[in-house]
Amino acid sequence: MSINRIWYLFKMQWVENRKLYVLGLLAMMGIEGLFYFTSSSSPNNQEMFFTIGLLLSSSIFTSTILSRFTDKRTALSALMLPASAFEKILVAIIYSLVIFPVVYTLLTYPVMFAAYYYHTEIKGDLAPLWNLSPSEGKILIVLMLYFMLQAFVMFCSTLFRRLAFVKTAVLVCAVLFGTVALNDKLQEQLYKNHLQPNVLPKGFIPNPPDYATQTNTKTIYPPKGSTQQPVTITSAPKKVLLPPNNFNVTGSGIFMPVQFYARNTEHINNPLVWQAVLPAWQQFIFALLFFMMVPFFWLLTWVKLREKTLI
Amino acid sequence: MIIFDNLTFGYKKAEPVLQDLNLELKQGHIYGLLGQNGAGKSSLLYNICGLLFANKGQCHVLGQVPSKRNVSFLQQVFLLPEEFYIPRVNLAGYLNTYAPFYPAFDRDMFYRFAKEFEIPDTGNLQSLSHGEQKKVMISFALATNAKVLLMDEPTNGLDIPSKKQFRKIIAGCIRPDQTMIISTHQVRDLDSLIDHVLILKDKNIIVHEPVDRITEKLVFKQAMTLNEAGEVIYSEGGLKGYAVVALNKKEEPSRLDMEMFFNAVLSNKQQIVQLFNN
Repeated sequence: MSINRIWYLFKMQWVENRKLYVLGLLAMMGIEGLFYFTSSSSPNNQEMFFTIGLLLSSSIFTSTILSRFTDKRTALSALMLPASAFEKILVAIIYSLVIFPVVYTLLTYPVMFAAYYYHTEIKGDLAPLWNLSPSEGKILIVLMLYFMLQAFVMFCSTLFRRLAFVKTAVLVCAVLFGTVALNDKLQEQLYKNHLQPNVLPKGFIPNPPDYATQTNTKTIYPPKGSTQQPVTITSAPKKVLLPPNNFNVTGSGIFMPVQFYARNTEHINNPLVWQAVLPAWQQFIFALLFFMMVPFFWLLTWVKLREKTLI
Repeated sequence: MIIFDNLTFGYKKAEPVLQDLNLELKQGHIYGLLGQNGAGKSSLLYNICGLLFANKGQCHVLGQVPSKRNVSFLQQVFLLPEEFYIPRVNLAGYLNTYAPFYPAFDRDMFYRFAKEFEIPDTGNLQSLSHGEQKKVMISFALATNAKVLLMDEPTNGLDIPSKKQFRKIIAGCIRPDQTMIISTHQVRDLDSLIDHVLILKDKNIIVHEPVDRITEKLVFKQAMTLNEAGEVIYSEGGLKGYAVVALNKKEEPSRLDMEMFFNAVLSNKQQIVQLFNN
C-alpha cells in the first residue's frame, strides 16, 4: 500500500468529479431546505430529515464512486490505473464513510439552522434546535444502518453494469422489506424447537420478570346420599411465575437482537405478557455478526474488483 | 518479455477466441498485430494487460502474471484502446492527475510530443476532437516510458499529417527495453514502422515473422502480366497491371506491402504458413 498513490486517487476522484459533486451538493441543500422550511420545526423533524437525507444522499454518492469500473470504456482506464484494488477501495470507503458525512453535515446543518431561525424568529414558533446527537438508543442503529447500507451499495455498484443505482435501490428495498416480511417466519423456524408451551426457552430471560397473582380453587363434594352441598375452597392469593405457553415473535425487529413476546393464554382476563430477550452475550454475538457484514461486503467488493474483467 | 503458454481464451467457454496459443514476443521490437474483424486482436491485447483472464494456459508479461494486475505490472504496461476515456479536465490537470501514477513518466517528453502533434492547450480535453484526444493519449502513453506499450488502432481518427508525425515519433522514441504491439487495420499507415508481423487467424497466430524474413521469402512488386511475375501467391489487378506477391526465388529486394501480405495470407494460408515453417 502506498500513501502517495492513495493521495493521487483522492485527488483524481475530486478532479474528475468536482463539477458533479458541487452541483449535487447544492441540489441536496436545496431539497433539504425545502423539507426544513416547509415542515414544522421540531428536533424530531430535524433529526428525521437529517438522517433520511444522509442515508439517501450518501447511498447515491457511494453508488457513483466505483461506477467507473462498470462501463467498458471507463473500466479499462480504471482497471489499468497503477494502484491496487485495495487502494482503490480504501479511497472509496473513506470518501463514502468519512468525507461525505462530514461535508453533508457541514452543508446541511446551516440549512437546518436557517430554517430554525425562520421558524422561531420570523414565524414565532417555539422549538429547540436539534444538536446533531441522535435520540437515545438510536446512535448504534443509525451507525449500523449507515455503515451497512454504504458497504452494500458499494458492493452492488461493482455488481451491476448498467443502472447500478436503480438496481441497487431495488435490491436494498427487496432485502429490507423481504427481511421485515420474512423475519418473524424465519425466527419462528429458527426457534420453533425451543418454543414449547409452558417451557421458557433455554438461555432466554423473561424481561421484565413479571408475576401473576394466582389463586387455586378446590371443590369438595360430599359423600353420596349426603344432603350437604359441595364446598369450594379458595386458597390465599399468591404470586406465581407462570411459564408462557404461547410465543409470538412479532416483537422483534430486523436490526434488533432476537426478542419476542410470550404470553400465558390461561390468564384470559389479564394475559401475562413476557418480553424475552437474548442474554447479553448472545445479543453481542448478533450485533457483532451484523457489524461483520460491513467488512464482509467490503471484502466482496475487493474480490469483485480484483476479478473484474472487460467481459 | 511476453510469453503465451498454451493459452486459451473465450468470452464463452465453449467458443474460444484464442486457442492453445503459444507465442513469445521480445523486447526492442514493434509488432504489428493483424487480423480480420472479430479475429481476437483486442482479446489478445487485453489478455496481455490483464483485462481478460485465460480459460486455460498461461500468459507472462515482464515475468508477472497479468491477471494479478500488480501495481508494478500496471506501471510498466500501458494500453491505448481504440475507444478511450478522457476526463473533463485540461491538459495540465490530466497530467497532474494521471502522471504521478507512473514513476518513469517524462513530462518533457509529453510536452515535446504534444508540440509535435500540435495539440491545443486550451479548455478541457473533452472539448477536443477525437483525433486530438487520441494525440493526447498517444503522447501520454509514450511518456509513461512503459516497457510494454499496447496500441489498438492508434491511427484511427488521426489526420494524414498526424499519421506521419505518429510514425516519426514512434520510430524515434522506442527503446531497446521496450516492446510495442500495434493492432491495426490501417496497415499502410504503419508499413514502415513495424518490424515484426503477427497475423491472427483461426484462433491462433499463424504468422509471426520479422519483416526482413518476409521480404526474404516473398517479393512484392508490380507486373504488367502475371506470367512475368514468377510464382505468384497473390495478386490484385489494377490500371497499371498487377500488384503481386510472389515467391522470392531470385532474392529480389522489395519493400513489404503489409496489406498485400495480409491478403495473401488470408487467401493462401496453407502455402504461406508452410513457407515460413521451413
